Amino acid sequence: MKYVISTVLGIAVFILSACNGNSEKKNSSAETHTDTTAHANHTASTEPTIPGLFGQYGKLVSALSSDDDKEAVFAAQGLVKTLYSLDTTRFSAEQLKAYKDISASIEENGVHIAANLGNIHHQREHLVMLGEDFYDLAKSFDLGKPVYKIACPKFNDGKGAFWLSETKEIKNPYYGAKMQGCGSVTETIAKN
Amino acid sequence: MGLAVILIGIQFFQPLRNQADEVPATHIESVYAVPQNVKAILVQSCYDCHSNNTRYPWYSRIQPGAWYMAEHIKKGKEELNFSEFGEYSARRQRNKFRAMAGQVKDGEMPLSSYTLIHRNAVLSPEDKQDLIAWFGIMEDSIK
Ligand code: HEC
Repeated sequence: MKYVISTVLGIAVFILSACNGNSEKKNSSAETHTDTTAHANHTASTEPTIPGLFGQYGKLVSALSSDDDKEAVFAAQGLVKTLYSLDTTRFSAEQLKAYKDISASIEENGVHIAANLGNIHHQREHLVMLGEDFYDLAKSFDLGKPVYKIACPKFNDGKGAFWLSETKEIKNPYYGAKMQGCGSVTETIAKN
Repeated sequence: MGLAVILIGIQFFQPLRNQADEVPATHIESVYAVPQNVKAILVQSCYDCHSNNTRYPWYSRIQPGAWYMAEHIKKGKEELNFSEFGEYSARRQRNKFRAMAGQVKDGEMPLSSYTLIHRNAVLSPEDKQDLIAWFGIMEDSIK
């Protein structure tokens, strides 16, 4: 009986310790939650509107182009927070339909980026998807000013990725300092 | 001795099993033609945590490992559930195919804590190639 117990215990300890690597990530995201109060000014000023949402996305792009995973967490938290308080009452039926689809994806991607402090590679993977979400959003809503689609064909083994920007300045958020210049404006999106 | 009692005691508290009887209409295999080789890899290496059907090995009955596995399944299914894939929006499906390719390429999935014990879930370089290629085709087809 003693042997059975120690075997069971052994396996249990083994399994628990083996799974640790995974829970570490979660701890670090909890840590950032306590930090957010100090950074409240990063998020508080954002208007709960579509242009406000774009502003948060812009902060996220900027953080990742500076290789700053921590700032990316704050920006992603701000993005999700803005999303939750966004006022959709003035949207047309068509806009509302597009928004429902897109916002679910923005939320999921934003939450992932916020939860991945220390894993900038993974944050960037989700930024690629956010780029598509915001592109589709820009096609459905009037942002009051043009935005530029900037594409870097090299990224992800030649699959390519793009991001959106309010300026034509190229500061690649997928490579950061490693290849900040990769990208060119391929489209100007303007509603009138 | 106290510990032994606790260890034996907790064996009677088993989490609910994650097992469904049939392949639902929303299953990825119902909505897409999954090539045989890809399907075999998904079943072997991913379905335990990302579908409504987990194949439970004998040691998964032993606590506290069973709780731990249940926690992985719960989180894993929230992120990606092959049994409900057909219910996802086109956008979410596209995102998931891309995320799957990324996770496999980076060696993040299947979780290393799982492959440590389930050795046959380890992906060979060929498995990875097959998966990544198919995920890529699917991602592009949904655009
Ligand atoms: C032991 C259970 C387990 C197995 C087996 C497993 N996963 Fe996961 N998976 C998880 C958990 C748990 C998460 C949630 C994220 C985390 O905690 O790391 C996850 C998350 C994911 C995500 C979401 C990541 C993102 O960025 O959106 C994808 C995609 C994924 N898994 C794909 C796979 C694929 C493909 C396989 C098989 C090759 C697989 N997983 C095998 C448990 C598992």
